[in-house]
Amino acid sequence: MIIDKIDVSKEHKHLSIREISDTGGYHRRSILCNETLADDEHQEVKAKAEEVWTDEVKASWATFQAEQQAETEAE
Amino acid sequence: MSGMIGGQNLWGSKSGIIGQTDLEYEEGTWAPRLNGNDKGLDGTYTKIGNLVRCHCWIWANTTGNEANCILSGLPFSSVRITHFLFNRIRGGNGEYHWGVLDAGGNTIGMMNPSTSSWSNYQASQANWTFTAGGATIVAWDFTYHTSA
Repeated sequence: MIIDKIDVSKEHKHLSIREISDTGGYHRRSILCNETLADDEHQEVKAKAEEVWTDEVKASWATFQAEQQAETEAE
Repeated sequence: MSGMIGGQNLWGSKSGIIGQTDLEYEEGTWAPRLNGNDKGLDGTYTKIGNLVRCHCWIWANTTGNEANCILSGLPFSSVRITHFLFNRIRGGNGEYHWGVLDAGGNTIGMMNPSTSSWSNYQASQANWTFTAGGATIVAWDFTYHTSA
């Protein structure tokens, strides 16, 4: 797979990675800012994650998830 | 709004801007996983603007039950919580269940039909079991919104 494009979501800076498959088509996968990148992840993805996944972004995502969980438990 | 979708790239994949709008169009594949295993699943997606439609399927003999199924590998994260109705066919018999995609999430938690959805369940609370067996057909098609 060849990295073609890395999109960053507005809210929580999740990554959506577009790759070119062996057959030439687009292939997509997404990674959330609280996920651990694989050791063999592409360097471009690692660099983008390093750039946009700040402590503030991660904290904001954790807070958002906690709020969602609280809503669930409150029902 | 209407117009022509951008042309194919060198390899045949389509993407581009629709007409004079700023709606981007893209189609491709993704790698569906059930509890982290591919189970022979294949996936395609079409994205128009912030609307994502995904399809994933298998038609195979499956071995080993997958309890508390979580479907992962979605091509884009979701911008809001979304519920889906799914069907799995084996031996000619359909088995409906439902799933939930969290706001901001990229996984779908599969839920037993009897599980109440009124209390806003999350993907991590998945409780549906993908049972093993022959002649299993899964052809899930679902749509959600992303901000990417």
